[in-house]
Amino acid sequence: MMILLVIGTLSQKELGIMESQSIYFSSFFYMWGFVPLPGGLTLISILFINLLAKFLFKSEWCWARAGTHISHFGILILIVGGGISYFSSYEGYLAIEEGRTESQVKDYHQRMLVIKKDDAIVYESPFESISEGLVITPAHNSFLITITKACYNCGITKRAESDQDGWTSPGRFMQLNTEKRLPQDEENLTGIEFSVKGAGKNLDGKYLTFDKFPKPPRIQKDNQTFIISIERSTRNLPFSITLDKFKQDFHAGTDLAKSYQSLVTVTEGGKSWPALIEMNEPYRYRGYTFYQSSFDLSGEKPYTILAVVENKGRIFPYIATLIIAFGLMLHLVLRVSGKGKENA
Amino acid sequence: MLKYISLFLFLVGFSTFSLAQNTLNLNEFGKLPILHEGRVKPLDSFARIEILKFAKRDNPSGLTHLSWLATSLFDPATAVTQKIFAVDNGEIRHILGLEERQRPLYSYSELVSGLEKTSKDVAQLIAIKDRKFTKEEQDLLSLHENALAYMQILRSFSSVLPLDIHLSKSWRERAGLKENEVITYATLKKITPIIDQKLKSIIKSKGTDPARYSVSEKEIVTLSWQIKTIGVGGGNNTIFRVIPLPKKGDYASPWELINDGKGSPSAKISLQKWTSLATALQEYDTAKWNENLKEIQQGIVGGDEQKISIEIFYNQIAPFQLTIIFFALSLIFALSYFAAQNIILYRLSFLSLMAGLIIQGLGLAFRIYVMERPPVGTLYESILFVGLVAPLISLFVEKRLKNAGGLLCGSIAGVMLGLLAQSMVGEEDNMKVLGAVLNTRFWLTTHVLCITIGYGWCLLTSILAHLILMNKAIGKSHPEDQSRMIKIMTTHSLFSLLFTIIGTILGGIWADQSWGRFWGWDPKENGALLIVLWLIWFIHGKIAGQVSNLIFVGGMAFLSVIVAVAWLGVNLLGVGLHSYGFIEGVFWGLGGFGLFEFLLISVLVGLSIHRGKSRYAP
Amino acid sequence: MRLNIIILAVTVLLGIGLTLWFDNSSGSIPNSPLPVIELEEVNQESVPPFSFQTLDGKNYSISDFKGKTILINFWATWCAPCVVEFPKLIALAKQNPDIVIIGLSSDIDDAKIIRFLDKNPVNLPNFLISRDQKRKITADVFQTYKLPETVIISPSGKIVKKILGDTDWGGQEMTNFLSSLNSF
Repeated sequence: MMILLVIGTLSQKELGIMESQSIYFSSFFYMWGFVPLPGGLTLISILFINLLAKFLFKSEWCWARAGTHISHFGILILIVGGGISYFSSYEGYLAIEEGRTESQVKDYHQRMLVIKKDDAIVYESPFESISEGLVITPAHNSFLITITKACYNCGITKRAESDQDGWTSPGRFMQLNTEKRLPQDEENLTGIEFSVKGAGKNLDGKYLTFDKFPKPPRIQKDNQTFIISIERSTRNLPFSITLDKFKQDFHAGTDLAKSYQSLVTVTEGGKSWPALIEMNEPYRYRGYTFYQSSFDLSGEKPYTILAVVENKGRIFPYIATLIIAFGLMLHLVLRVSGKGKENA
Repeated sequence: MLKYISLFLFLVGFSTFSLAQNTLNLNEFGKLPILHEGRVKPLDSFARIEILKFAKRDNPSGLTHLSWLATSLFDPATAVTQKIFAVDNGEIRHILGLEERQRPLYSYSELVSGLEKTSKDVAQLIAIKDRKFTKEEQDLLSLHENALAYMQILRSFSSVLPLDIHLSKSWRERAGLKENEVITYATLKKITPIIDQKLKSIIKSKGTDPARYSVSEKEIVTLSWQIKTIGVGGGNNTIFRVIPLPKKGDYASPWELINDGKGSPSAKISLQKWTSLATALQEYDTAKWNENLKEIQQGIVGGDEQKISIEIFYNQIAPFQLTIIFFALSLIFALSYFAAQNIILYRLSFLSLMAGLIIQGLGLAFRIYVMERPPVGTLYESILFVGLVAPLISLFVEKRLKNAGGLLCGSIAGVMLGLLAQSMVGEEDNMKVLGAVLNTRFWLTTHVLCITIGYGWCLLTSILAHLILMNKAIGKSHPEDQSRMIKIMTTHSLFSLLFTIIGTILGGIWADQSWGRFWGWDPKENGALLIVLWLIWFIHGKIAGQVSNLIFVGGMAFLSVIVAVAWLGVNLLGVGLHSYGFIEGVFWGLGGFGLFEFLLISVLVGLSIHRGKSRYAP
Repeated sequence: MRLNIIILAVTVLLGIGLTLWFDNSSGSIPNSPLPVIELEEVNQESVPPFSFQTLDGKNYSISDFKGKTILINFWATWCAPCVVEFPKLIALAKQNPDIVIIGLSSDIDDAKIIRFLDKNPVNLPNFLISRDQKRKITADVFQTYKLPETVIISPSGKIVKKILGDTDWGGQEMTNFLSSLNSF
């Protein structure tokens, strides 16, 4: 386990935290050169089975061992909680402009190809399922979309003049090229190039779109508007949040921030109430926890970025801590006062 | 730039200022508050930090930090001739064309031409992003930075210091100046619109060739240019924030009053007092100086005089340098006690350790009082705190051992941590305000304190383990004594485990509370986990009988490296903003330390095994 | 062993139970007391005494207006944002006859001001125009160097706010602020 920790930590410098996490810690095994070594999940599972077996079958209660049993039990609970969190937790973010309301939580990483017809989603697919040559028919319409290029991280270069035929602006001048994935996932620019056939002479052609593209391609046919875009997968909240005001407090005379605060109003089913979300002080409601994660002051109005976490296993670390602490302290007290002689 | 300097010197006037500062009350001067880097601190601290930045040593050329500051602020013409800039790098000296001398300290005016010559190269260096600088480049860059910072200090009061300008009677009248009243930038700023208007009409009627202007017209052009130049120099000059503003704890710099609209009638009065202070210095008028100091102090409403006095006291006694001496004494006495077995030596060792502990505790208490938060916000501070915890725990060890072994461990810890802290002091204010993420007293008090206590306990356990190994290797102690020490050490390893585990989990809880992720596998968390696992591994090994006592002690001894890596080493991985010299040093230092420990422990273990075997040899 | 299974099960169920309980209780109570508009700790200074002469030759002292909200507006005809601001101030004075606006101009001579006023007439008893000779009041007393700047003085004579540059004089926030001063 310790070797894993060391290698995994050192790798974070090159790979970034998310990638290293998935390779070393959340996996069952990984390769070191050409030696397969156990990954985080394997080790934790082994530990879990070990502890569970020991607890159920071998732990007799007596003063000498009471402290250790309790501590081990605490660790068991910690792992149980970890397991629940691993399988059930969801993380995303909400970017709200001052004065606006949002109720859709965006995923940090999962990119989706989304086709909307008149603002209703008619086709949605995770980006991983998109590949060159894929043909899509949005709704029951007669036009086809064929994907000609899909890159998780795209670089943008100028399109050669000889290639410009058939392209709509801005694809006429811009070209997407597949590039290596960046360790900081946020920096990856995901995009696709596709061609449309059957929408009519004016609309048929080659298009492109990418993540956060301000003007995604529109196809207007038969009084219906189709918008094709790359977005993050979303999840709807059963309530909505309105940003009333975002405040940033600085240490006097510096540009080092002292605190960040979002004053919001939560609305659910007709009722509204105010709430304060601050760095180090999140807001919890209905199993969702909202953290002050970041902000964006570059536009006209400030944007607050709230991290949203739904984690059913969140209470277990707390219970586990209490148990472990109690166990260790009991053990120490007993030992120091002479009762735990066997462990000398 | 050179032209500007000469103009500046010319305008501000040459006054002779004698350095007999023992009659000018500089101590009171040091008590005045300044808002710097987000907190209100005494001028004493500000002066110490700034002069250290430039000169890299205390009292350069015999100047105290406060007399240097006073001269720089109020008598810039003299200040630029004082040798306060350290240029230790021979190459840089050569590039800048500086003469070689015994102590490489140079005055600002000596540096100016060299700085100008190299400013283009510096601009190019800065423009390149993400570049690793060589030592020369780094030194040159920081010299330029320091020179700029120094310029800012020099110009702090240039808006109100008397200018050596000639104004004809009619202009004096327009500016509302009495016949002998001094001319300052502020006065000139008042008549700027008139000057601008006149200039416009001159250019309109006579074009832009000054040869065609009359004498009075030339005067107008000169005036306009002078005003602009000084104004440019004062732009963005926000370093010397000492003028109190209506908001409590908020201060502005003299230039901000003019440029950023922070002026007000009360600010005006305050600025006047400072100006009088300046003239008192230039005229060497002690009565005027003291009087104005008093008035300025009185003008500060809602200031925390108590805090400022304590901070100055803290600066003066430098408690954390003092404690190293006491810990070292304790160490020497303890070693002598082992040699001579004289009870007096024992008592002296004990007393020195206590003295060191008390002063360390006091130093930390002062920091808590001044910064209004637990003293564990930065790496440096955590070292100071561990430097209290480890010797403190050694007292408990000593209580059980009663043979000065505990004192020995404690004093070693105290000395090593004290020296480590000294090496990390750096050239900036080490009592900084914390950014938003760390700005939470609750978690600082719980998680950070807990885990630093854990580190401290681990370190002490490790030193104790070393002691046991040495005893075994030398073969001087009885087996019963050894097993008693091992038992004590094991108890302490359990305490170390308790605090480290709880501290680590509290860290996870903090992360969960603050950004929703209990465990993120990031370097800092992994480091703490490493310590926990190491401890658990060995403790379980011992309980299960898989690991002999000797190996257990060896493992505990190696704990020092694990803690060092977890605590200091992890900072190496994610950092890109610290100076590169620091990273290199720490990396090699850690590596060297790890290797040294490994070799030492192996040797000791080897010797012990050998000794054990030879005891039973026929 | 059975005991241990029970302990394990109970603990896990307890955890799940607590989680469900937290998740479903609708928290319409805000999580922390909300900060009302922060009253920063501000030391308010009294307006220093000074006197001025309006363009029509009348002499006034600032203390003449005690008991009323006063706006001292530092401006000049050569300052573009001041010129933009000027009509707004006229409107403000019209709408609030119980406040006093003193326009202290940094112009060099009266003639320019008079020409300006011909195009922007101010015939209101509560809007006084004066030329600050040699900028004595503007710079020496108030330390104002950048125009326009407005200092707002409460009826009890305290400087309560300083506005740098032009602002939304007719807006809701300003109206609310000015009316709140009446209670000072």
